[in-house]
Amino acid sequence: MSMINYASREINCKIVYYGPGLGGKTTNLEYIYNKVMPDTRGKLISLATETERTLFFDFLPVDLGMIRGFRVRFHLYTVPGQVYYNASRKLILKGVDGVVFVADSQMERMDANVESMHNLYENLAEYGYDLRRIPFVVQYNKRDLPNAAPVEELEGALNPDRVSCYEAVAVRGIGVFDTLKAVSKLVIKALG
Amino acid sequence: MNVTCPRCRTVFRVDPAKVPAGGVRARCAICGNPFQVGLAAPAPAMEPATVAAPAPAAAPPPIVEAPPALAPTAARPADASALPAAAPPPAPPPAPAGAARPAFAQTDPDARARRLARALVSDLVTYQPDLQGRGLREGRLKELFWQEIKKSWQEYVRQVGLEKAQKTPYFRDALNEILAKGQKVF
Repeated sequence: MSMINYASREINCKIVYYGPGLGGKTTNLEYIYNKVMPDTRGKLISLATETERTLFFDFLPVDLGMIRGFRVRFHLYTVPGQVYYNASRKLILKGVDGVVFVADSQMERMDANVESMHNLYENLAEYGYDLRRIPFVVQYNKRDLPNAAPVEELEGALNPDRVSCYEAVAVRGIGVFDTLKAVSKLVIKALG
Repeated sequence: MNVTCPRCRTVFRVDPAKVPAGGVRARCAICGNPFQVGLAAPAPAMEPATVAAPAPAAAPPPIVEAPPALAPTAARPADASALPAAAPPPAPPPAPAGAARPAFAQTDPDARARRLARALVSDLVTYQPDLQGRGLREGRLKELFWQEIKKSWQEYVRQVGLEKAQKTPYFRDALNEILAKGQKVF
């Protein structure tokens, strides 16, 4: 949950990008990192595992204004997506304030998407969180690929509660900031 | 062509070129229901989507419950209906009307095991597509993926338990369908 730093007068919020391996979580984060103003962001930290990286950085959006005299700093994380790296995923979810599920739109990754979503619910439940009660948005990435499943199909399989969803082509930046803005708004709202 | 799953009514786009003249058996990627695409045998008996009898409130709609078949866009030999009789999971109760949505984190154990197997094998292919191509070309899939398969199997056993892992065909089926692209290699 959000941490308040009275010294710097900042509220720190943690947003985790979750989803199956190679679905575009890292691409989202790298795109955001490269677009936010250098003087408002921290370092991009990469925690390398055997085959996948966990990325992390924090930034202070300049256009967000103040909340009761405090600025809001977002800490963005990715998780390793491959099924067998669950220990890392669970650890990263601890204290989460908002979640972005980055689904891989390719038909062939449907099972991996569904498994990852189940895994997200399960891991959050172990911390006592309910995904239906925390800021959560879904991004359907790789919409430009010819084997992308129709959005209705993805919605039916992955988004039973019909939270906000965004189509994206993260390698080109399409939909990346729409997704981030949406989850940020929900996080800010939850703070209030 | 558009194909509609008779149970959950999801509409899929299917490349007609991939459907053999005699039709093909497919598995709905959403609800797992097996059904016929194109000509050939009449569709197998399946629960209607709107069953009046109420299911238990906590019963999740099945994500997958049928013996392994294929995703709607994949091709499969016409004799695919002759699926192995090895321990097909019992058909779960039909989803109550209007509840055709996945109940996350509360799934039927067989559906969960099957989905997990497919996700694990899908990861293998996603991370090493070149190796898959080479393995298929050279007939060395088993050899080239041995370590990765072992690692995935261990994770599978850890999550579903040794008994279910050994008594059900899900992992092997996933290897054949996804890694071996429908060939019976494993």
